[in-house]
Amino acid sequence: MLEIDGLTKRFGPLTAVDDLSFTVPPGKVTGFLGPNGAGKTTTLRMALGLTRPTSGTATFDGRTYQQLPAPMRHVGAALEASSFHPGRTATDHAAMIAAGAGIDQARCAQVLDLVGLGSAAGRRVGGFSMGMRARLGLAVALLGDPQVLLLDEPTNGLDPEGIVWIRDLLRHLADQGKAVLVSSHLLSEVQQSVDDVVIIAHGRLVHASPLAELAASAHENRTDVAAADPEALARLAQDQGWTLTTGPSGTVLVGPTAAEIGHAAFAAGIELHQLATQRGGLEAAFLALTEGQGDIR
Amino acid sequence: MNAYAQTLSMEFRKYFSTRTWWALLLVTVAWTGMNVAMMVFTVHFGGAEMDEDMFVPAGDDLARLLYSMGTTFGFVFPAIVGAMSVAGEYRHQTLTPTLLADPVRWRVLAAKFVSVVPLGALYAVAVIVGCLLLGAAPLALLGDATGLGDGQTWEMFARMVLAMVLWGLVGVGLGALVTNQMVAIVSLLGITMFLEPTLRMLPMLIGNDIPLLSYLPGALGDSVTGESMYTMLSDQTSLVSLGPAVLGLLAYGVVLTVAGYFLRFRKDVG
Repeated sequence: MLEIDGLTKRFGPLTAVDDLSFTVPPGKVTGFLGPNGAGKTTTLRMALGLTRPTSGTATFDGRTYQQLPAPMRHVGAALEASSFHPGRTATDHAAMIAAGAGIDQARCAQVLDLVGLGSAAGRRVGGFSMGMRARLGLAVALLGDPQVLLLDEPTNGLDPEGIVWIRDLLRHLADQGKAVLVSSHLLSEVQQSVDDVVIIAHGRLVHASPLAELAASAHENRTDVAAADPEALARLAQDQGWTLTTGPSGTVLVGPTAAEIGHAAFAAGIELHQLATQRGGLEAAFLALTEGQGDIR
Repeated sequence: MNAYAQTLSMEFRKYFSTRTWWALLLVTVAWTGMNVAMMVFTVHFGGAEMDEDMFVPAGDDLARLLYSMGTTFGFVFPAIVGAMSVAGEYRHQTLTPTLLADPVRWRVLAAKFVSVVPLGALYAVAVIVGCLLLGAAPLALLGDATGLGDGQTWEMFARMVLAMVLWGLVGVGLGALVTNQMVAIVSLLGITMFLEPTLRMLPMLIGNDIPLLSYLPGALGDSVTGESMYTMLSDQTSLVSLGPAVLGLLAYGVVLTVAGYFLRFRKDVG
């Protein structure tokens, strides 16, 4: 189990990760979602001791990554797919890491076979495609048969067949009782394989729940409304017991259908200038949570 | 296996799993051998034209002086290997998987420092092979003394191994401090092959010995070897004795590595 508690990282005036807290429980696949630049990779790098947090902690069963006696047997991580010397073969790369982590050399061939690199094991990484590099990164993450897996955008560079394969693998690992965290900037990439979602934007937590809960909220009616007299509209929402929030394009009413709003506004004599049902579905709910929290920082 | 042995084993695997080590080894033999051979022929056929004021040794002494060119030209190779062992990890971003395998940073850097020792010895052997193949062999063919029957020559070879190992340590420190592989290698070459030789010419110009110059890294390396063509030809910086020379060059390696640890290696990766 990974526990992130109040994790914060500032780079000069820029706050990349802002008081972030969530847990990655065993036996589940947790999707770690947010637009590019939201702070996902920085969070993972802090959890792994590669980047020092400004404040807060990331612990695996109570210990930081550096405090684990055999870290790669407890935690497996695959970060960006470029961390290989191009002149080294896949087998040599795995063997070198296994040696450093105190893992039996025989395990290297096993994990390379597992990720489908068995026949390419003796080739230099310089000639590998992005997908093959992603698989090699995953193989190294699995070397120590860890209880916790942290995978940063594992589907990057994989072909559709590879994406299906990795989904099945993640499910299989979670079913074995492992805690699996998978980051992605696209909900659609992971929605078929995750149990829980943790969504961040601008380094802050914006949503954490089981995927089913996010899906349920996605089926609520959300309607963009603009009125000539916004205060009258707010009073109407209060009278009717509707939730009124502010979305990126203005006022949003959650609950009633567009027809119900139109009828009530007409009856109350409120002049409406806009009445538009938002696109539904998970992806829309995800975008609504992260929108306006742009990628440009 | 404990964590120290594991990390050390990882570092050795790094050296021997790319082609760099043996490509550099071949270059070491060829480059040092070629320079020694050139000096052998220059001295043999051009000896009479040398400056009369200059003290030119003969026999076994001359042979030793010629072999000492091995470190004069070969010292950069273990230093490059040492620098690449740290800076290469930044260049290829392999520092991330390395630190996931062993997240204790000082232990990783210490393993690099220790693992370069046998590597330095290996490159020293290459230098000596170059000296024998392209120095001793032509000397024998020309009918000159090879010095190989003299224990002093073998003692000097042993000191060359020591010098090369120490240069490997200096390289690790430079790589840790600079981290950019290209900048590390260029500054190594710039400092040792341009800046320092220029500084060492100063006493000749001002006609006064500058004792501090004996403690520049290249001068200390020459002192560890005990002979230096540089020193003889330009009649400048005096050598210091073996003990202080070893400690001095070791100090460069340690200080650079410790500085690199605190200023660079401990910092955020990625």
